Amino acid sequence: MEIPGETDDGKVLSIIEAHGTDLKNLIPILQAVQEEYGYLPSFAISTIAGRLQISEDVIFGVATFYTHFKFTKPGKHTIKACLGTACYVKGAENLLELIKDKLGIEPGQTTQNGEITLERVACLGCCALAPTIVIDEEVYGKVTTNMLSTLLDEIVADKDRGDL
Amino acid sequence: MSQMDEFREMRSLALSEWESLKQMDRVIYIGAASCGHAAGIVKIIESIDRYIVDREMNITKVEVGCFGMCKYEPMIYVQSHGNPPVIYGNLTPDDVEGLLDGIFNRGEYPKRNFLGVLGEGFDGLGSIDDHPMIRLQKRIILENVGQIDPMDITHYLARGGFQALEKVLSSSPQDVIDEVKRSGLRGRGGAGFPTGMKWQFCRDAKGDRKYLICNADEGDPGAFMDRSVLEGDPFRLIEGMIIAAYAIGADTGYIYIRKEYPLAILRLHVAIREARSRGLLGKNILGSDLEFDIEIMEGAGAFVCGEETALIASIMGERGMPHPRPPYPAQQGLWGYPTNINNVKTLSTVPAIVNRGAEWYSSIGTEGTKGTAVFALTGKIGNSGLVEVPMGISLRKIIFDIGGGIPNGKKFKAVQTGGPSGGCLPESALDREVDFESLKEAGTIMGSGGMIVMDEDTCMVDVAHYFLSFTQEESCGKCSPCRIGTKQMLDILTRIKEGKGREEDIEELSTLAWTVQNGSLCALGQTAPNPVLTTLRYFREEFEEHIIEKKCRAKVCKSLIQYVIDHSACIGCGACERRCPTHAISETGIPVTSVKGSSKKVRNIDPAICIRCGLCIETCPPTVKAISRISPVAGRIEAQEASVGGGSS
Repeated sequence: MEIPGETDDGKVLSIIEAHGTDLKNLIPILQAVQEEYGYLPSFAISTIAGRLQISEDVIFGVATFYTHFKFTKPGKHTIKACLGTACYVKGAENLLELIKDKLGIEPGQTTQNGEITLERVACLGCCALAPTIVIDEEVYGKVTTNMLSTLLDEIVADKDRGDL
Repeated sequence: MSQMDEFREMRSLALSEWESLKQMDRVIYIGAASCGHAAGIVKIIESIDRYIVDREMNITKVEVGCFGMCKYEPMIYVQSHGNPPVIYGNLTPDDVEGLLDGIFNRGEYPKRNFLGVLGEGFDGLGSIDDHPMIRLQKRIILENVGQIDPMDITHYLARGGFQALEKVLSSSPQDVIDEVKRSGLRGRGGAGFPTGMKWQFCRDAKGDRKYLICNADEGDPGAFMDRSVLEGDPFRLIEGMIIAAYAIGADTGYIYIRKEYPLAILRLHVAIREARSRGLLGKNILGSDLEFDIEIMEGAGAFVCGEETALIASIMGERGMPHPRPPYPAQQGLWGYPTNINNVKTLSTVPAIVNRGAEWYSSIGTEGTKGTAVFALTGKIGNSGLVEVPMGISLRKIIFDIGGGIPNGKKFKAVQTGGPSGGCLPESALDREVDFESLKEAGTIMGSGGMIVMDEDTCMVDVAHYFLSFTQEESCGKCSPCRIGTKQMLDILTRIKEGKGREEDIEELSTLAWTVQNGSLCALGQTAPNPVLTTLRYFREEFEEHIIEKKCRAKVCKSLIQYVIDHSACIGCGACERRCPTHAISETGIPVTSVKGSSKKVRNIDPAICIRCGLCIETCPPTVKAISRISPVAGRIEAQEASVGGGSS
């Protein structure tokens, strides 16, 4: 079975073309590939290795060093819990616990149905609105456990409707 | 016409455009930085747009950066009737129509949501300069932020932009370095190394070419100073970088910026393109021999890349691991060439020093630290926001005068500066003057500018654990003391938090901290123990309570606390029971006594199922407040028995 987006459709090559094949372009290339696919598919790593004439190990070495890069496909929705200092002292850990408990996943994981990915981020720079949660692109400030609980119900229910 | 003449003409045009904008009737300035977006400015803009269409009015909108009064976001400033702009904050989309109608149609400035006049006050409306949050500030780096359209180069030009560059091009590079040396400017990235000296090392180093890097990898959690400067006044950084490049002889510059700042990245791209098209970047800048251009490199999420040698490795496409120094980047940096690295705020200060002179700059601040400090003031504080203060001001003034103190009647406990490399200072340190040396003496560091205020509900053991878990995760793994030592320290702190602490743990933490500090190559490891050491120094009794009494006085550490329902207060409404995510709350057979004649039964929390998320406390009606946390847990039986007893008697 062919999974959509799992095969090279020439996009990776054109990303490499646009950046150039110097080693200094490796990180920008990986960023552009992730922008395109949401993660770094293994075929992309092979293509980059071939064009930049470096081993896949070198690419994995660099990519795994930086927290930004992902190696599995993210869910349809992404929840980012900010655990920056300002958010932390305002109770962000409780919020994270609640999300973990409700979705049954740890940060970095995606729910089994591939719907929701949970991420823990270090700081979004919106400290004055702490604690903050980002769902997809929307930033929610001054989040309470009550508010979050409702938000989570909504996002989970949304998914159910989609499934029907 | 020479390029310089063209540039001067462009400036006088910009000035007259700026003047006419200031004379214009019906102008709305909109605070549209990242924080404004998070606070809902987009909905306000939509309301303004609808208003413009409905009223068929001629209204000019100007999007500006963040004025630093984050607490009052979303904010707009309304200019009309020949008066200066008037700032309104905490707006909702529904406020817009009434506010604008009042001002534009009737010349009435509502008191509601009013913050101050941007300029001189009038008609009984006070100037924003007299606002408690602004009064003690001195804005140099932030002087344009929140006042100009960051994407419009003419605004920057009209406010004196690129005048410093013009001045510099008619003097020698060495003169520029001497001026910066005389000013006493020190690096604002955290370490406070004298900037002029750093430039001199790079200028004197031998190399076929030289590089300039701006470190905009603001990785400290709880800090957003650089983001605001980049989003609110990007041309200022560009001007600072061109001047630095001229001084050290660099032809290429990089801005290494966090991926997490998409708006800042976008604005820098636009500003760089604009500067190129105006002859301010590229070959023969303003008709001189100077050649310099800037590239943007987006970071990929590694805190250690704030360290200069790690940052250089990252730009070269490698794992961002630090190298031993020497050789210093000024001798052998990017691809082996002499490289100078400065923080955003350092470079953004340079145009002001050139314009107003080293004497002016060195007249501000303390003996050892000149100029101003920009802090991102957050945490348990009344007025959170971005503040720029003269060095030498006391922490107390920043927290209690500018910051408005601790909200909700709580007591101040600690202030944290310097992010994960810094430390927590207690009440007794609040009268210290803020500068590099004074903070270092107290056990913390100035850092890049994060300042997080903590109140009595913050557990210091938990905070130490938090910071250490951050640095432990971000340790690149190169040096064993940092890689293993921070892990060992974290294990001990986790143990203490879980109530399994041993009496020798405090001693062991101190020993490990010493080893990590002294055995690590870069500043990440050398400073990682700071949060633990300062909390041990100033809040030792909290560690001892955790270890000996198994008590967390702030009631934060989950293993040491329990949620209990006061049966004498519970009204048996069952709201908490329905809200509890783990169904830890259930009905008891005990009748409600707080409401006369009630047939309901009080609720109870099963500590074995409870995940201590706090949802029940938030859910319990504010007039009832029957749920609380207790610590140490051993006391729980007495507490519940007492409440039952109290209820039934």
